Amino acid sequence: MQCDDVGPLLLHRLEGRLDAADQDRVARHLAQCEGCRQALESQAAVAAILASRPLAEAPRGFAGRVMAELDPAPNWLDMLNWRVWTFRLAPVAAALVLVAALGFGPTVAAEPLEFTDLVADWVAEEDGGALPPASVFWQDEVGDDTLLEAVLTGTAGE
Amino acid sequence: MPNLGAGQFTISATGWSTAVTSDTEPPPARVGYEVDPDRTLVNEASAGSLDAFDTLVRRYQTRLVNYALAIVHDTGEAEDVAQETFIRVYRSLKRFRGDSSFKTWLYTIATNTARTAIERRGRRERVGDQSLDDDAQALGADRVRARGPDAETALITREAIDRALATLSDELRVAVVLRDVEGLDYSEIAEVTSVPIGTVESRIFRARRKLRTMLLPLKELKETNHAVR
Repeated sequence: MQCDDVGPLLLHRLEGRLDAADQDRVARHLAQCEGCRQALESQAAVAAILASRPLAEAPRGFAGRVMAELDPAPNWLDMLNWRVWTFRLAPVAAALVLVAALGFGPTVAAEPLEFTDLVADWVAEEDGGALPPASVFWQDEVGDDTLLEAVLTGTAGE
Repeated sequence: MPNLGAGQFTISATGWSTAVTSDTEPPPARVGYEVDPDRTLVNEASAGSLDAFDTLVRRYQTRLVNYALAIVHDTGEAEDVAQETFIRVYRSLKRFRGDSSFKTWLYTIATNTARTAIERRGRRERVGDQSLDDDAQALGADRVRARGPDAETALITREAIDRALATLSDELRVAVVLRDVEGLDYSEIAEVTSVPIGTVESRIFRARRKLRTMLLPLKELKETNHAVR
């Protein structure tokens, strides 16, 4: 029996799980192999040291903290906490956004209104094509006198 | 070869352990599936009894915190892992069919939670680079010193063992801790780690071989201390 064959059987020997045949073969090998004897001893020694690892205490209040996570008591002060409300209202807000998106749908953008077109329409509707009083403010060539007259008399002037 | 499963508690009684033992402590590890001592409590907790689950938490909290500490090697993180494990367990109780013991299931979830914690931390630091949570360790050390030399020796021993464990790869560490520290048998470890029993044996064998040089001096130190006393 070679050392490589014995390796896996050493654990079984430590555990007392070798059958009679293997026990005999391993014993014969160990009797003549110093290396495997040392391996067996160190396996047992390390196992014993690990088994003697002293326990650390669980932190104080550990179980209480676990149970508090599982069964959080209602806290009325939460009512004053805006974060709690923000969190709880998040689904409502999401639903409103969804309804708004589905309900109104995309709108067709209107053609932008040109101010000068509005003025032109307005002028066309006025009888005789007379300009409205305020038109002096957007006409390009209006003299100071005309502007003053328009302001004082409330007419568009000539 | 000692009975490793029960060894944890035998040694506690001789003063090596700093943990407080009580009626809520877990039963000896070597309990067959057919007589799962937690089954009644698990059923009650699954039916909604928080009191039953509270009893389970108190029963396993010391073991689970210690297991997490041996795996993640950081006091604060170990507590987080243990807490998250219990919360996951509670939320999965309805899915627990009882094919394995509650204890095995608990260790499975704890192992997965610890692995996730290690992966999360992986980018920041490497496990075992002597980066213990210094503040928490110092607090623990103060508490231990106040209890006298036995408690102090226990703390030093535990830290030495944990430092040695931290040099192993995750898979070797999990296997050897489950076997030698937690006392699970090979089939239970195979179930927890989802690998064949032969792989479990190989990992344990290799882990012990790697730990030999770091841990055997502890044995000599312990024997010397006993001789002095």
